[in-house]
Amino acid sequence: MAKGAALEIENLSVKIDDKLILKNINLKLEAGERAFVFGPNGSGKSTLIRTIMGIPSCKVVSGSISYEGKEITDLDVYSRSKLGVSMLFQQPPEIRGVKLAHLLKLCLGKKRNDEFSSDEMETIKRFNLVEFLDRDVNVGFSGGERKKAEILQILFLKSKLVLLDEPDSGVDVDSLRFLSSELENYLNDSKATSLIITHKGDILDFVKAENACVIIDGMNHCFPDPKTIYEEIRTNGYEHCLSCSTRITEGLA
Amino acid sequence: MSNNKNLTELPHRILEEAMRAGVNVSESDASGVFFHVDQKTIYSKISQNFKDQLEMMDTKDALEKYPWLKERMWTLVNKDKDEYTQEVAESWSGGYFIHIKPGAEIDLPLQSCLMLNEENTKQRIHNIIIAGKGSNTQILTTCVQHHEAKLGAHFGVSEIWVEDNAKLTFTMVHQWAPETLVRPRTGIQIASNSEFISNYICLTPAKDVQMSPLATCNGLNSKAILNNVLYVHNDSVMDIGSEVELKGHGSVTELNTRAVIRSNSYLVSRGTICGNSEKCRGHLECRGILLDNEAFLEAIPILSATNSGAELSHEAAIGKLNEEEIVYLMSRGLNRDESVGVLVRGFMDVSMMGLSKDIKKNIESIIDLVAEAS
Repeated sequence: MAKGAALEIENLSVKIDDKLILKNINLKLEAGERAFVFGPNGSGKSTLIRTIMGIPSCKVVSGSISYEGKEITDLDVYSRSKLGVSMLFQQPPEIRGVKLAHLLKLCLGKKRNDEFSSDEMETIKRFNLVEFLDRDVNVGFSGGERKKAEILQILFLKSKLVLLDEPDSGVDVDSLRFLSSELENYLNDSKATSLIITHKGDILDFVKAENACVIIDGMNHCFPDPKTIYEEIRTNGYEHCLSCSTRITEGLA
Repeated sequence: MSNNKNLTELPHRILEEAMRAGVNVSESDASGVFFHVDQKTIYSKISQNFKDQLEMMDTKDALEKYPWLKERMWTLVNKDKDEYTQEVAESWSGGYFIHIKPGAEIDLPLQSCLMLNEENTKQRIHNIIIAGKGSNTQILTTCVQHHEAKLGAHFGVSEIWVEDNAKLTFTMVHQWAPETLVRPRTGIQIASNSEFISNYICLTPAKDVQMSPLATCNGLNSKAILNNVLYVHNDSVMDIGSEVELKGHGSVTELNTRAVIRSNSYLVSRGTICGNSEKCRGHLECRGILLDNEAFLEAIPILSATNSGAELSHEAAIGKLNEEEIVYLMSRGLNRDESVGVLVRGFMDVSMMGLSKDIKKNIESIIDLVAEAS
């Protein structure tokens, strides 16, 4: 069993192209812990999650990212994925010629011509994605269908650190309820750690988390009790967070 | 002239190589099977269920049986087109003659295999296909050089008639060796309300391939679709074209090429559409991906028209694999090479080709082998 926090980010600064997006971020999540990430448009929420995943366009200028006690700052996306890190892409690419069935099998460690097990097929049915199996990945999928396909991939990958970039955007209430319940079940059963970006906060009604992390202008400010914090933000705006008494300036510990 | 009564009587060396190239040698899965190896037709047989609907034999046998055939030969391909057609005209070893009877609905593919078996063999053949009125058939022809014979040449003349209201899907898989010289010369004539679909798939290296089949849509509302899927690598030189002349009122064509090029290879992808009739339409698309900096790709689309009612268009694009897609697949547990393999395979997707289930499965297994090996 690896020692140390599931995820520990220390003094992380990140550039995209030549622009500094994240400034000295500190964040620590213990195994099984969950945190919501709030923040105004363009504050750097997605950059944070994409940097943890290792997306190459996010260049780490300084600081470090550790996962289960091991520094992963310099590992590529594949190596991080192999360690159990996965991400729900806010805008996953359309991949012509590659069928959803093939992608799901890859997530399961199977080959293209392998069959799904009956359990796997049951899960695909539950996600209402059977008729999408023979379609090109994300081509012609609605927003909700893309999110379903993304979350199903994360389940099949058996991820231990689940990074979710706006799982609730572009999803109707029924679908959100379904996806949230699948996520909640997965996180509870697997004891996976999770960082969840939400812009509109819809998912807070369905998924529970211990902490909130508010990113403003590339810096994070951490708080307990995400629901209360989100209500505060809705009422008083993001700037108010900076003067809030519950703020933990050193990051979650 | 073929003497073998059963496929199992063919030499193991031939059958094994055919299977390696993706030829389905199970007769229960084919309406007919034809083998021409080096300079001899060694097998030609129509399955019992299709004997009333199909005829297949060596072209030389067909010339003896049907004197009228002599008048037809060399009308769709010019005997003096070049040195290769002249060589075939002067000295040839046969080829397949396939006659699909009018109205025949053939639900199993016809399988042909043209093989260079001996080292340094030159194969000169002449194939004839007549798809009779109202018929519907899929032909899968595999041209292969035995992997133990490195040097060889294949000069193949093919003349294809698709008669009124007929549909013919002609899928050709080439599996040559690094030292093979390949010069197919093909002419197709498409009559009224009929459709010809050509799928050309070449995924293994070849020293030098040059071809440009010419399809003439003569008939009212006739249609020609020519698809090429090419993986040009390991010192291959290929000049692959498709030409269509739209002569019939309302005739239609689509030319589609997908090419992946790498490792010291050279590809010129040509496409020509001539719109010479009222309400004819044509679209040409060529997409190429360069996987490294040691390859050359040139796409040359040509459109011409002599009729003001013609509507012709083309799209050509050369690029590299989308980095965002590679990273996405890497986030799903694939290393970089595996991700590239999945995307290359996806790029060569054959689901657009209108293949029967059997042929599609067959072609996909060939692409799988190539994608894995790359």
